[in-house]
Amino acid sequence: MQNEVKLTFKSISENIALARIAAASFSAQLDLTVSEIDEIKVAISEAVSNAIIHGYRYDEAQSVELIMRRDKDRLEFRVCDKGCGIADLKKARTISSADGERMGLGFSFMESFMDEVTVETKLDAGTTVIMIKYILPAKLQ
Amino acid sequence: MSVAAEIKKGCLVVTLGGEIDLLDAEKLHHEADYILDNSEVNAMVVNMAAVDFIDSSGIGALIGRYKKLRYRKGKMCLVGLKQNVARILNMAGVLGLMEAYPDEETALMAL
Repeated sequence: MQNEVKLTFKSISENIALARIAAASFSAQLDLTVSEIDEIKVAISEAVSNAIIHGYRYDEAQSVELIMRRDKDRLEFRVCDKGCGIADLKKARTISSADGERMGLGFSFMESFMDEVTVETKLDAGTTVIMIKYILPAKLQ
Repeated sequence: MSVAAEIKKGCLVVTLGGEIDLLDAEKLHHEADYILDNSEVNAMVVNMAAVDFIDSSGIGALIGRYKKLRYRKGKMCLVGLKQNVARILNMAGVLGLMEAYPDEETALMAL
């Protein structure tokens, strides 16, 4: 592993911007395009928003962890909460109007903008979303 | 990020700036609804020329206002979308629901 950063922050919506800007800075260590960095920002924003809204149901006393790793051919982002977990993962990953105003677009954007999205979840224990973006050989330093 | 709302030519014009995520989506929701719920205004222009980023929470706030206006047979449009913002709005199907114009003047004439 070439680099690793771990950030733990309070589960409040002010920290969504902080998380995505940290992810953008971390990603900028590689020669990515503005558009690729923008995609990473959207995916991180969605995962952290999900942790705050669904994982912790807006409980501000909780913490979200963002772990960022750079390996030779990939960037990996893990967004972890110790919240309620997801009962029906398949349903959570489907676009629907049941998710208040966000309409379940979150997972759809994560999947569109990252090369791999894996979700590990356990009821009443929490959820970790692992997102990987592969780096083309031409962009490796 | 910023949200400013005013009434111009009978339309609610909401000017957004910066990055629109969950935090800002709530402000947009409440500021726009406060005016829509307390006036006869039936058209809304969202000026996004200074918006650099939007995620699904921001998109949800836009679609929520669109649904409210459509329910009362009103109209809504967007103005000044940057390329990355237009791309994500398009992916979410927002640009199939409402028009996007290059500037506020054109939008106000079109509504």
